[in-house]
Amino acid sequence: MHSISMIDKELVAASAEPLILSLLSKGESYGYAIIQEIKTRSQDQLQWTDGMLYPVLHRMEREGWIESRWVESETGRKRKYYSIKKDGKKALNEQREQWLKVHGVLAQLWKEKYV
Amino acid sequence: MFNLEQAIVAWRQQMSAGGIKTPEPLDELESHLREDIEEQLRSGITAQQAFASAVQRIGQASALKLEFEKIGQTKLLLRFAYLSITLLAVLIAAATVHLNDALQPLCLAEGLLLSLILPDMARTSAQSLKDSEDHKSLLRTVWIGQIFIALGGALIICSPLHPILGLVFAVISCVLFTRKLRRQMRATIHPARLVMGS
Repeated sequence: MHSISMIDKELVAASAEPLILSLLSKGESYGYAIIQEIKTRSQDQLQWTDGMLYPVLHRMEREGWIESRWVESETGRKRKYYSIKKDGKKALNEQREQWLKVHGVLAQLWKEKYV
Repeated sequence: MFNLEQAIVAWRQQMSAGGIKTPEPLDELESHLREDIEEQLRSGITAQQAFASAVQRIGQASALKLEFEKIGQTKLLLRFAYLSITLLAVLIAAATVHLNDALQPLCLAEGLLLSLILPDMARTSAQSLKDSEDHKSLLRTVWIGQIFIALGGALIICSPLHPILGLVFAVISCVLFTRKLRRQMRATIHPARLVMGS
């Protein structure tokens, strides 16, 4: 399979929502671009099964975190763009705090270990 | 001779036959597929190779269908929960105008409806999770929830208290356990399946 991740699958799954919300907080985007952006930013270490992104996006839309609209380009290509909503920003802040807490504890422990 | 447009039409039909019937997710997946193919064609491979690897990357219809179903089902169950709460309000209204004779069977019928929610909610997950730990923990929630709803039913029948109180107990149990189950199901929507080959 092409996308065996270097990062543990549970961690990939747990980080999907904060990653999508963080990306969308920078501006609206569509499925393919989101996947490519994550791939590039993680130097190919974080790869999702492409199709599976959409149920996650749809669920987040249903939660009221993001909204979508179809846009047709000049070449006639149709893309569904997602953008973050107020509740999504709130959810992102909450998730950010949790990730930073975990990161803080790990960083502290590892620092002590190697001193 | 490979015809890309025909191949995409056939792929769309396969996805539809595999269970992704609604046009919107199909349109979105097709848009993704075309984007991926175009990107690969720029690197110089043939249309056939680009199509084959894009199809593989997007995943199987059966797996996608299960994930989309979970979302649709949650929406349906929310409607069901609202309906139950409306019915409860009607029953309380009936109680206040002293329709006591019909009240106990009506409360029991409502209790029975509530007992369908949790097992139905866990049903689609059962197909995708099989005997995993996630599945066991979902089933545990379903069973504990059912016991609480049954206790509500017992209160409706046996208690010296008003039958509405038993029903309120069953509704509160159902809402709490539905929320718990929903949280557990949300956690299983992507783990193990967002990554291909797992």
